[in-house]
Amino acid sequence: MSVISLGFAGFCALVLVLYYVLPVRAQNILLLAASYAFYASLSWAFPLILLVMTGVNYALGRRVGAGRPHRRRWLVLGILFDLAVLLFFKFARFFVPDMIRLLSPLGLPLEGLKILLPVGLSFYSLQAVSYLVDVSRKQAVPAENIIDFALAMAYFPKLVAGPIERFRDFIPALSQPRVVDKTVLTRSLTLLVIGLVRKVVVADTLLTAIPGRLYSHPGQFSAAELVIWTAAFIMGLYNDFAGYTEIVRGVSGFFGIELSRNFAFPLFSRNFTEFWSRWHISLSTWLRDYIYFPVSRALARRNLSRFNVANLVLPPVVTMLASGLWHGTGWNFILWGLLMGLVLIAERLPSLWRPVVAPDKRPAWRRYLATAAFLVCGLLAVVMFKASVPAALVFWRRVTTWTGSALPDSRVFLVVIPALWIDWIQYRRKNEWAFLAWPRLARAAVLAAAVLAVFLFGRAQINEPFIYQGF
Amino acid sequence: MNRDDITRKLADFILTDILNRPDYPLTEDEPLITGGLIDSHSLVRIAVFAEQETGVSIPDTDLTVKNMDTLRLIVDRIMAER
Repeated sequence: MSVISLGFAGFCALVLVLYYVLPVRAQNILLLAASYAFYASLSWAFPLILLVMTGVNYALGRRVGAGRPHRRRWLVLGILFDLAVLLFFKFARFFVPDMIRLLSPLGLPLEGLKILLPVGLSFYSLQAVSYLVDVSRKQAVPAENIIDFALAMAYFPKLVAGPIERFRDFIPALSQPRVVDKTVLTRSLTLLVIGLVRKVVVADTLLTAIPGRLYSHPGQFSAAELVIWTAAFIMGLYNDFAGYTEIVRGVSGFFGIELSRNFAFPLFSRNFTEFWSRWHISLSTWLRDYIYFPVSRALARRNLSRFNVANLVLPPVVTMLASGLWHGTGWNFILWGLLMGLVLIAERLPSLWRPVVAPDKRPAWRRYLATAAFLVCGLLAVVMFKASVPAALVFWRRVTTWTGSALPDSRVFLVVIPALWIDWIQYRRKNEWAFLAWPRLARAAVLAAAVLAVFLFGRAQINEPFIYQGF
Repeated sequence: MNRDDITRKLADFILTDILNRPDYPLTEDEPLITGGLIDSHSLVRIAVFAEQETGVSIPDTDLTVKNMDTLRLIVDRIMAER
């Protein structure tokens, strides 16, 4: 059941009706049952894995929270368990064929066995790790109510692709009274409509228009085609994921449960350091809090100097390599992580010798140059997301030597206009609900246009699965 | 060490070791993170400096805009832990 299907809309409507009919104390049980039903609609096996992860982390959280003498042992066991489950499913496609070949003499019926990565595992396993770490640091109270804990793990709006919530805030919120007033409803509806426009009108149009062989056979395309289609991919990827997040935040708002914001106008970043504080914020902050900060703090405690080379190099490289591996298990993702780590180091180097000036106070030419350099580097780096290493090398060679002169059909890029317009309105006001401050007539006109566009585009094309669902 | 001492030591460290601008007129309420003056790397160094000078350890998950965006917020956080 896709989040943008009519089935999901009907499912949400049914759960909402029951939710508001039931007494408050039964609402979490309903949401938990609905979450498992939703997950089972994707595959009958997925809820079993989620159930095991929930049971183990609940039990270990209690052990870790009970304190010494074995707190650290239970914490390490829990982290290893969560990471082992995640890595097992992430790497299964590499070792399962070999395993079947090795076991074939035993005559077991393993032929054709495939192990699928459970949708959402990459997201809820990170939530479980941060829960255990926070409990061990006494920054979170171990969950007492297993229903609340199970719901925090399984809550269906965030189950398949986040946002990655922190249980130290999320679990207490589940036992609080929920306010669903006119403001919450209006904001939720706004997010839902913006999310649908991003996904159905912008992302699906762009992502389906990109030639299928662009990243597998980049040698068959001109430099201009490679650059323009990759720009389309970036816009498509951003609107796909931002659209998903806004839809589920909107849906969750109807239940009175607030989900974290995941994007803050990343296309207006001036460098990668800023970009990673604006893109997939719940993952970036997770990586920052549980990898970057501990590594950097340990190194800074040994040597606080700003010229401490280890502290300049290791935290960004280790963090971005972890980010690369989280996104995928191929060499291209490892190379992408390494590249991002090196870019972050390069951005930091000038501050070692030169006075630091706030970006807004730099000369205009430096700001524009920085943004242009960021966009070019981003465009070249994102290729690693789609192409194998050899294909990426061909891509980069053709672009840097500007080989070929063919241009893609530009009509499809008209859909970029509404996407940039939405971002610009929100960015200028620094407010994702900036539209709500408009006069009623303008709001009604935009809403009608958005609904019509979603309807027309939704009928005209096949909806692509959300990209981040695959991670 | 009282609040003023902590504020002065932190301000000195930020101006000389983070911003490389000893003469910069840093105020207690100037936004450091949201103003683009410090990043995650600098944030950790400020936390470790505070830890070494005051004995107060600010947890990693508390190194946020909400707790660390201004000199005043950082000192508030340290004073609250003492």
